[in-house]
Amino acid sequence: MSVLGYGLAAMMVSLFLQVLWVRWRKPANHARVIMVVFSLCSLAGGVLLRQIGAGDWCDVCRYLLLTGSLSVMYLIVYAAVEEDSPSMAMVYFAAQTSVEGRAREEFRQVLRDDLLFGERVSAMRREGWIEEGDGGALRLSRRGVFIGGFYTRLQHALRMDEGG
Amino acid sequence: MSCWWLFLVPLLALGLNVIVQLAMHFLFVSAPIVRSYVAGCVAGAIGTIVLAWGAGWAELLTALLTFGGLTYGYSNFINVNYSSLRLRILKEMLRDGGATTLADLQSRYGSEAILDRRLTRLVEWGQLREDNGRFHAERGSFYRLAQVFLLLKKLLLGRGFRYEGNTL
Repeated sequence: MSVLGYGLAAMMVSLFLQVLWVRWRKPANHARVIMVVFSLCSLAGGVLLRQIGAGDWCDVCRYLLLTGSLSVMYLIVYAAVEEDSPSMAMVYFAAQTSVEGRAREEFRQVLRDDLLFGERVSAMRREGWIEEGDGGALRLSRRGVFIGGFYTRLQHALRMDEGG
Repeated sequence: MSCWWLFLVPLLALGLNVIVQLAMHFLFVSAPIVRSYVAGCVAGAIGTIVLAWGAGWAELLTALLTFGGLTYGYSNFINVNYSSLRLRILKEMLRDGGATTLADLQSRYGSEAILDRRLTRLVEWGQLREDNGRFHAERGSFYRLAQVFLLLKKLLLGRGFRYEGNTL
């Protein structure tokens, strides 16, 4: 019970502090805030579980696995919430007209170039996947080559279609 | 039931999840990949319940929550290959020698180039239904997920989905 209790408490405190931080300080990189807040709260909870909750090292490991997996889940959900998934926006857009539906042309309102394309290129720059080259050209950074290569190999290994 | 066994249960369940998901994916290559995620997740959840059975409700719930976080991370790790436009751009730049221009990217990944691909996939995956050239939303799990995301957007970011300078 103590592992579950401490784990859920750590997640609730992390969530509260992170939302407070984002709303109050308005940082550019929300993912970094989440990682810092959730890591610190998880570690603090682990110390409390060991010192006050009388948990042994095994309990602390189970607690860290629980908070770690839930933190990763939250980070993924938050990134999706922040990024404006075009697929979700399209489904929600179509759902607003229950009877007549939407024509192909109407979906252009959802798939705006600046939201769909411009923000993603900016994010690729911000995360260091691409760099400015000579004459306004864009080129892959070392990180971009590594990530692109990894997912290309994964795509081939799993025989997946092209996404995006 | 030992504590270290309870630590291993979500990890073993994730292993079962991965095996079932990959088996379903390769056995039914033409089926939407989302079905293999669901099959793997169900197998892992059943595995968690079987392996942690008798440990008490709190320990079982802890194992299930941990497995839930792990399986969500795993399915996103694989699915990002399908869903991420950024990764698609990255992979194509890599194939094209690692350099491009903004204008070239815009011609390839602007809304016109992507609209048909997104519509086709949403129809194939049962999230939209096409009827005489008009698209209707299927109010299934993806639509409900979109509603949850909309609520989260309003709570965390104070806005909805953006389009044409407005929000949905």
